[in-house]
Amino acid sequence: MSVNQIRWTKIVPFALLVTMLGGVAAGCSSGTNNDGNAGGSETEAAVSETGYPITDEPITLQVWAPIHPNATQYIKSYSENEAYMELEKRTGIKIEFIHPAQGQEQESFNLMIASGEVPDIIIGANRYVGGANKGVRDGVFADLTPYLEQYAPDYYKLVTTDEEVKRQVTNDEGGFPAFYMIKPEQDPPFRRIILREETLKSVQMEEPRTIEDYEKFFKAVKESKGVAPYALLGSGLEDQFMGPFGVVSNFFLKDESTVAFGQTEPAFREYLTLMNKWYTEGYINKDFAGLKTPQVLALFDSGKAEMYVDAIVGSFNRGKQLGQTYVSAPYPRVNPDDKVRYMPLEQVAQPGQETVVAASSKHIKEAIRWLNYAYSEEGAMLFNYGIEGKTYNMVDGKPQYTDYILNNPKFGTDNANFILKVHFAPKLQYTDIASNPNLAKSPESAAIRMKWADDPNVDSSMFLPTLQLTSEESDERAKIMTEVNTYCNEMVLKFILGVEPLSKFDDYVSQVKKLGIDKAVSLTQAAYDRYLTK
Amino acid sequence: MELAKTPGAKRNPNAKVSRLRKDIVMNKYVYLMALPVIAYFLIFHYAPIGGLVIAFQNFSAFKGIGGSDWVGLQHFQDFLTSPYAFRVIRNTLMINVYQIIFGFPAPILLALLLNEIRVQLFKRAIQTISYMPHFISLVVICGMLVDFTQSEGVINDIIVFFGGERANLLMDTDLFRTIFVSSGIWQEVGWGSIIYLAALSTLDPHLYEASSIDGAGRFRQLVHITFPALVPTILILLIMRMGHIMSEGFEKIILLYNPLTYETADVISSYVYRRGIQEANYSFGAAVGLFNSSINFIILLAVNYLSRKYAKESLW
Repeated sequence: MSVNQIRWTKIVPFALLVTMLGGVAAGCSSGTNNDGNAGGSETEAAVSETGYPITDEPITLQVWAPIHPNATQYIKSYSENEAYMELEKRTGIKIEFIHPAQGQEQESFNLMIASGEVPDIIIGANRYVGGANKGVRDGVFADLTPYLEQYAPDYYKLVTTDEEVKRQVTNDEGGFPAFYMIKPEQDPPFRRIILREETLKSVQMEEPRTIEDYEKFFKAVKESKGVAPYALLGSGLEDQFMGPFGVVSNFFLKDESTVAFGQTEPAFREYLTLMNKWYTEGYINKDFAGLKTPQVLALFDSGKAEMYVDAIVGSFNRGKQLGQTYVSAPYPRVNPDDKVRYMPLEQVAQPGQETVVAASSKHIKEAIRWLNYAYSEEGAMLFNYGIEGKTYNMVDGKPQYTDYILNNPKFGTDNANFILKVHFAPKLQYTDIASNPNLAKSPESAAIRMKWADDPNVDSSMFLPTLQLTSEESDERAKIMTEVNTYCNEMVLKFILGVEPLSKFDDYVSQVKKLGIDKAVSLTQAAYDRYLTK
Repeated sequence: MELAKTPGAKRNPNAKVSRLRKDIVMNKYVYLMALPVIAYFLIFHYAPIGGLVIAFQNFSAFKGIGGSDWVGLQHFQDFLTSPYAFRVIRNTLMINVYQIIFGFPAPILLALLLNEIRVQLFKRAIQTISYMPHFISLVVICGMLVDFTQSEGVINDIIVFFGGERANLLMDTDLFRTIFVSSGIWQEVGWGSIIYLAALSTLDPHLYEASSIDGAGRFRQLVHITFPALVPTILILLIMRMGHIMSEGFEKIILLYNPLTYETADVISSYVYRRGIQEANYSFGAAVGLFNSSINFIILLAVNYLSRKYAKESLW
């Protein structure tokens, strides 16, 4: 090595090293403060205060919204969605969609907020740390309360006529932080235990109902097919097998009014005992702890598993393509006539599509009026069914889908849901039974969704509604829950695998208590009590 | 930094400046070419150092660095008093120690072996094949690993062939580090050997001639000529590697671990990822990052000092 080379090798690594140390701090750019022009103060000559089109001037609004994976196979942006294109014509407002990369929605959202350049409208704003309401309090999002009655009359009417709905969409002070997807009529639950009809026939059984039936089914399948029948979720937590023992995962309502944490309840031990037994007997897939949904589906479709839990209609249609009949089972219970209290709660104001308007937007009123359109009768038809004459026709006063959406030559019905109409958005949502082309496709797929929906012994009384925590509460709870979840997730799997004996369950509970679970429960209880008295 | 001081630093500063000016005038095009690189480091690596203050704040992106509340050492305290602090620090250290013991010598061995190959075509083919895994995306590599280690996977087929029992290897706490480190070696060994091969290419062939005249065989040549030529490079790289002993990126960890293997797999960065990034608690992340870097830096200084004292090789 020449002298020059030696020097070079000495200097460069050192420079690199220093910069690497410095790099730790990179990525933390400062957020610029938006000048707090929260709107409302400016008076504006009213051109057209209500009605559509909203404006005859060319206005462009930026909308941040995650794009559904079913759409991205065929379109790059919701601007290419036919319903949104029609919406642009009707409202006179041009929309520029900003879509985060799939799977990185949370990170993209955080970055967008940190950059200080907040688009006019944000869909899915509960990603804001502490919730959309915290964003309003921080002055990032506009408080919608003063605008709604005047500029979003359709939405306002929908959410204020019913006290329960009003409670779901307002914060503790009775203000409106966000638009919610509103679904006045509920559908039967979509997440079901899925089995193969052929397998049930081959072991001469009906759909299992009780835990005992499941054990019988597993035993028979194990003996006749030699596979581990049940592809349990990677977390080891399945509410449909926990529920029968009177417990569900995470925070839930123990007895109509008391909040509890599922993973530390005595009943949870019964669930773990059952899962441990099933695992030891070889009823649960050996690899379950690392399984992700696509792998579970592949296992089931290829016959290496005989049972899993997922969306029923999608599964049914997939099975049909493979030439098989997938069927669903009712909610399991211990005794055949036990009451099931763990059906997932469907609120009128559905979580997930919380939509806010940026406080810094120059067009707050227009944005609110644009959002309101999806709650008007005319707008809801466009969002839920697409364009009349193209995707649907009115037959005897009822919309009926055309072949254009049901059997589109370019993309399947599942994709059409996101390309020819608007499936997920802040809107007045009609039921799947009425408006989902997937269900309209064949009477069987509608029937499979309706199956078990007539069970009178089922309700959702164990589930908490969406609660509003104050920012201090949510900070404190989040801190506790990170530690608790790390510990519980680890221990739950160890109990199921038998790495830890169930006799250690009490030690486990006291360890979770040490991590502060009681405090987290009481914070949640306080938020629930506030919700009730709101 | 006492260690970095050299006698030269005490010379008259004016003389230095004028010398630099002269040098710039003389080599102006070289300096011009270096300019973008210097700017890059200043803008992207030095300017953000100021952002470290958020480690002492409750940083809120919207309030900005200027407006966020100061909390002092709160985040450092939170981290060190967390029930998992010991475990994640231990796991980070263990994985790094494994990597240094098993992963660090691997490319050196490969380079020495490749250097002995006389058939150029064969040598190049081996090199190209061994580089290849380096260019496969980590996500793909981990996807393959997950498939291979499943109870129905290829590795289990081999285990069963030799009379073992099927089990998911990634669900076994004891195997996580082995899988993690060995797959890392497989992926990076070829790429890592490049720098050693480059060092060997400057070796004077006369040394080999002279030694063979003296009667040295291939093995003696390897021990007394080839290996000593690599020692400076090895030491420099080892010192730099030691400077990362408290770091392990979270990407590969979170792609391979599951709650069952937290016991051996959960490292500082994956813990911070769950707590800091997913909940947008940037201050906590920055505090842990600063804590890590400080320890790394101290270790680096210590190793560098020892190396200079005993091996006469050092970064500065």
